[in-house]
Amino acid sequence: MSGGRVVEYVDVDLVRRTKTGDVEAFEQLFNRYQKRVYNIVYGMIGNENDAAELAQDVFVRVFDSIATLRAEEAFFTWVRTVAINVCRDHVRRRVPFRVESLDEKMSYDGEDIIREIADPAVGPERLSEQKETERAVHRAIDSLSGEHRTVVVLHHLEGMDVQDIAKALGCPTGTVKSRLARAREELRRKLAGYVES
Amino acid sequence: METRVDCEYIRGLLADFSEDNLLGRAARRARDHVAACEACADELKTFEATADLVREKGLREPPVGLWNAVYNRITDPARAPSVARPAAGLRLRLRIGAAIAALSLVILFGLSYVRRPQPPSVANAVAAEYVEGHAVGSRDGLFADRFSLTSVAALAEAEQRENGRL
Ligand SMILES: [Zn+2]
Repeated sequence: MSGGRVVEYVDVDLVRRTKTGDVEAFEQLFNRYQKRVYNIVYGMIGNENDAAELAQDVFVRVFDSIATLRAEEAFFTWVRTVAINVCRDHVRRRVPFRVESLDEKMSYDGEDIIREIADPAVGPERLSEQKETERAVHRAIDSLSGEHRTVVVLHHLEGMDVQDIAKALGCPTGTVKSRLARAREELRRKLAGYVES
Repeated sequence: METRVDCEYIRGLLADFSEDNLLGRAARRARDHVAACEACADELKTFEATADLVREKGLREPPVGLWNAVYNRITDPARAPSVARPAAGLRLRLRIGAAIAALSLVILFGLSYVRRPQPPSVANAVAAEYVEGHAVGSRDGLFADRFSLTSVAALAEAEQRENGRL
C-alpha cells in the first residue's frame, strides 16, 4: 500500500468521525494539515495576523460544512479549495492601503501591496546558518507581490500543478506560468547569496 | 561558437525556460545554447537551485494556539455556523410559511371529505365508529371530528401501505 493510500484511509476515517460531530477526530485532521493550510493562507495574504485569523476561518468553515463533502478520500484537496476561496474573498474585501507595522515600508504597484521587509538587526553570526537561510527565503517570498507570492506558494510549497492553480484562481494557465517565471527571477536575484551555482 | 549576444539573449529567457514556458523556436534555441554554453548552463542551475531552496526553506510554522482558537469557535454554543444558512428571522418565517401551507392542505382535504363523505377503511372501523358516535353526540364539533377522522385514517392507511411493502 502506498503512503498516499494510507493517508487517504486515515483521512476518510477521521472525516467520517468528524461528520458525526467528533471534535477529537477533527483535531487530528487539524494537526495533519494545519501547517499546509497556514502556509497557503500566509502565502496568499502575506501577513501573520490576518493569516492566523483566516486559517481559523478555514478550519471553522471546514468543520461546519464537512457533511457536504462526498469525496472523503480527497479531504485535503477540498480543504485547500476552501482555503484558497477564503483568501480570495478576503483579498477582494481588503482595503488596498493599510499600515501593518512601523518597521515595514509599504508601497503599491497598482495591483498589489508590496511589502519591503527591513533586514533583521540580528546578523548571521547570532543565528545559525540554517535559520538565517530560512529567514532570507521567507523575506524573499514576503517581498513578492501578492499575485507572485500566491503562485509560488501553491506551486513550489503546495506542489499544485499550473492547471490546478489556474482553475483555483480563475485565471489562464499562461498567466500562472508567466507569474511563476517572473517570481522565480526575482527570488533568484534576492537569494543569490544563498544559492549555490 | 557561442557569442556574448547569444548569451545575453538566452539569459533573458532562462526564467521562462526553467518554468518550461518556452515554445517552438525559442525553446529549441535556449536548449541548444545551454547545452553548448557552460556559463549559461551554470546560470540556469541557479534558477533551479532557487526553486529547490524555496521548497526546502519556504514553509513557516503556524502560530501556537491556532487549535485552541478553532476549538473555542467550533464548540461555542452561541455561535452561528460559518456556512451559509438562512438567517434566524428568515428561518422563522420559513417555518411559519411551511406550517400555514401544511394546515391549508389538511383543511382543504378535510373540506373535500365533508362534501363527499366516504366510508373509512375497514381497518379504521373502530376509530371511525367512535368518532362518528362522538360527532353525533356533539353536533357542534362535527367538523372537528371529521377533520380528526380524516387525519387518523390517512395516517393509518399510510402506515398499512408501509407495512404491506415490508
Ligand atoms: Zn551562454
